[in-house]
Amino acid sequence: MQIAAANASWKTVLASPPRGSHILQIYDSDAFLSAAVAHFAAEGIKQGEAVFLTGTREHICAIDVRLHALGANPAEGQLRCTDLEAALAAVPQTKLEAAVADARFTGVRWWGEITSTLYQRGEREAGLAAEKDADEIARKHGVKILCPYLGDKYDPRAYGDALMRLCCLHSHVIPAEDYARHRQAVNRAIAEVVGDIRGTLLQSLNSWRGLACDLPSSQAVLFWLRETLPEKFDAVLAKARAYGAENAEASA
Amino acid sequence: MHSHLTDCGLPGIAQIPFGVHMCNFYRTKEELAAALVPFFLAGLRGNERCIWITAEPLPAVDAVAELEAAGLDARAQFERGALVVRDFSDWYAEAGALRGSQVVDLWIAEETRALADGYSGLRITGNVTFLRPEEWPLFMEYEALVNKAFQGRRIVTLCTYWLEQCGSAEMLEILQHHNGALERPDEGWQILTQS
Repeated sequence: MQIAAANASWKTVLASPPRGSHILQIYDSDAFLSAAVAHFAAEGIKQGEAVFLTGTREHICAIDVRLHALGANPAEGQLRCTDLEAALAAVPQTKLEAAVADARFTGVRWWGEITSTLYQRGEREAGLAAEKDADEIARKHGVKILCPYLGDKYDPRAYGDALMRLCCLHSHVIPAEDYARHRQAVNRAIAEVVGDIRGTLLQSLNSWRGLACDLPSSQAVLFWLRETLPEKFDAVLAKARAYGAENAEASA
Repeated sequence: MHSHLTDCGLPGIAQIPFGVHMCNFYRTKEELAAALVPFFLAGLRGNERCIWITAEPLPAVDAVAELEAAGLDARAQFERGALVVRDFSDWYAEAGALRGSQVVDLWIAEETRALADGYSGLRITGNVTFLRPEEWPLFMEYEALVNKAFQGRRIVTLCTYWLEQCGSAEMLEILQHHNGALERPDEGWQILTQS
């Protein structure tokens, strides 16, 4: 895990991701989703990259509004919306490959809510298979891919093996809108529920290998806690949710 | 030919390799002194040049008093150049404007000087309570650089972190950028490694 990169804000992560990046955004509000996607797309447009958006009509409309607000001014053919239903059957590989080969563009970015949609329909294995296909495209063609995942990061039920597998299929995970607030909430919750991390707990944290993706330490430590102290995990998440809300009110 | 091992100084831990970059989490000033005083006494016994960059809750004047209370003639060690104890604010005036890689270069130059002066190596510690939250990511980058750059060098490093400033997320980052964590579960110490 690259700590410094993992802890940069999501805006930094999405502004100039390296070629082949495959980023997962865990979101719990449409406002955060559209803000992140618009930022990802606007930065790509600014940098001369082709941008593909594959999402629901509601989300595409919200992203479009934000793109206008950001002053995005795509050239002809630079910003394209592709059909979500068609993408659910097969990722739009041909279109992406054509854009990669198009000399007008310096790179290709793709946001697609395929897996998120399949997950919401209960088709988890199909969702994971789609992620594997997307990951292949990212690696093979250097396409920068952003995937959304609708989930409540403070709900223990969200932390099944599926989420772990999903995270590990990405190069980077964005778990929260405000990283500093998330860190404060998680730290405070763990301190209160678990206490000082010493002795065997410190050894466990020191030996923990983490997930095979970059993600902020505040999220990584939650995955560690789930493995190490499952009996305290629910209580930590409940407190973190409360403190997260408290911090949000204080900063509003 | 110098040995690649040196005494750690902490009861329970015999020898540590040169190049090691360790961390320690402490809660009180007493816990901090209990780690650093024997650590430096062992370094001085082993003919290492010892550099202690201090900060609250154990500033330079208190650090020197702790060393003297342990029987060290600190003035004599200062005069012969074996021991340097400086407050971070003082040290920062010279090194604070440098980027992480430049600070690493500064330490490596310090190692070269120590060896040229006849010392067997360099032993350093820094207490980082001076860090502001916005400086944390850059400091972690510096720690990552140190972790790579000091491997195989005749430098022993112990970085101390105050638990009031470190939540579990910060601890995870710190542990990943050091190759050992010193802990005192009882009267004796132990070194936790990632294996």
